[in-house]
Amino acid sequence: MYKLKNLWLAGLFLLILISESTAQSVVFLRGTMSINDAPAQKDASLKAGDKIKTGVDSLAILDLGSGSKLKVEADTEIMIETLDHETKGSLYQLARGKVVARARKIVGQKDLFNISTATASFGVRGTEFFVAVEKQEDDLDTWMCVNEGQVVVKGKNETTTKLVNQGEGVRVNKDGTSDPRFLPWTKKLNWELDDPNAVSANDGALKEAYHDPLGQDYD
Amino acid sequence: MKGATCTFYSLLLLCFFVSHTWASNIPPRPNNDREYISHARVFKKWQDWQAQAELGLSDRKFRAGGRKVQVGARYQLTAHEKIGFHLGGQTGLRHNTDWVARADNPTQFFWQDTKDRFEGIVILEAQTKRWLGRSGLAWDARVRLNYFEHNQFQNLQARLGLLYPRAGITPGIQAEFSLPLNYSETGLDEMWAYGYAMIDITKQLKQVLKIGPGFYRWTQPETPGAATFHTIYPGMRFEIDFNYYFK
Repeated sequence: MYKLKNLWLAGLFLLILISESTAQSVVFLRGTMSINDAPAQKDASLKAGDKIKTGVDSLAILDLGSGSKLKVEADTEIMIETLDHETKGSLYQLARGKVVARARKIVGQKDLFNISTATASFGVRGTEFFVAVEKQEDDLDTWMCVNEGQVVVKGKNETTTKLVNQGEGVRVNKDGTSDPRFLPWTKKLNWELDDPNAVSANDGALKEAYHDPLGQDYD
Repeated sequence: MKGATCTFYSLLLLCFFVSHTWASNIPPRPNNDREYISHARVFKKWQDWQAQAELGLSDRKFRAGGRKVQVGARYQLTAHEKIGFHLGGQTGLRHNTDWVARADNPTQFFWQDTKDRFEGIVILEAQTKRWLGRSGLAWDARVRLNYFEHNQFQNLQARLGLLYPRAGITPGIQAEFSLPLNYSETGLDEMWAYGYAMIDITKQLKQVLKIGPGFYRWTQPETPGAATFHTIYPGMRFEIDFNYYFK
């Protein structure tokens, strides 16, 4: 009887652990957001197929389960196409705006965390990275930079991929993917995903992105 | 006592004449080592090409100097690597060969007047710039091959720099070396070390301020049978430039 009770408690405990590690929900919200065009609040649950939008001056952090998180910046629209970090892989479609993503490192696994935009797709190998979609006249630019780990990037019109290492970033548009390199404006990004008191938006992040300080000669 | 005093003054006089004669073939140090240089430049980019032009004024004391005009173009090989070609003309620059002996007294030397002498310059160059990791610092390097039309002198100008690019003002330091290729037995005939700042007056108009010490090395032009002699002339350079970048 005693052994059966312990087994039952252990099973319950394991169930709780599993459910906590795979629960997907909104864990932080400042301002307004909607899920599938319906207003959403903190602790709202998430599932594959959900379309998330944040309002102006808003910020949300999504717990995607299995240790992965996503910070959704202001005026951003992102869709959860699939949500399965362990087997099939997760895919997020970023239509506009900016996100900071942290994907749990899975040793030996292929890219199970992918973010796609209109111009590029990014396969993550256990990392923390920033993706932004910026409208430039009639085209869309996608900017991506890596804070930790590595990201594989492939432009929508390209057949080969590029590996972006920690500290590097790329710009992807209809002309292709730039060579990975240090982007000085990325030093100012806020990467915080855990401490609500330290989380802040990266609203002005791309203001300096189009200016290359080393591109100008002084004599 | 009287004899000793006389001998002393005779020796002193002898020393004076000996030193004066010995030094007559070496250019004197300028009274003032401060040099002033100024440029006005314009830049225009078309895809991977950049055209540029500049006007310059200089007072280089030991090397004299005057006015300069230069036009050229750079081609972008990669994001931060370029090669360039420039053509220029300048007045007033002194070369080692402008320190000449008087025709009526070969033991006396003087600088030829180069104030209005115009010479052409051809410049080939290559440059690179790189970020230093994620520090926000960058380094740059440039090598120029200069050809002076007046006397066919050629030199290599190498420059290394460290800068901290920032919005508003970019500070940096540079070291510049001039390596003679066909007119001096020394390996280095000029060197400067600058501190500088590039200041954004507007998005398109920038000011560059440079200050730093350096030196020229004069070498005696080759004379058959004569010993090679060279000496150092220090200087302090102040430079102010205005750059305009067309959209």
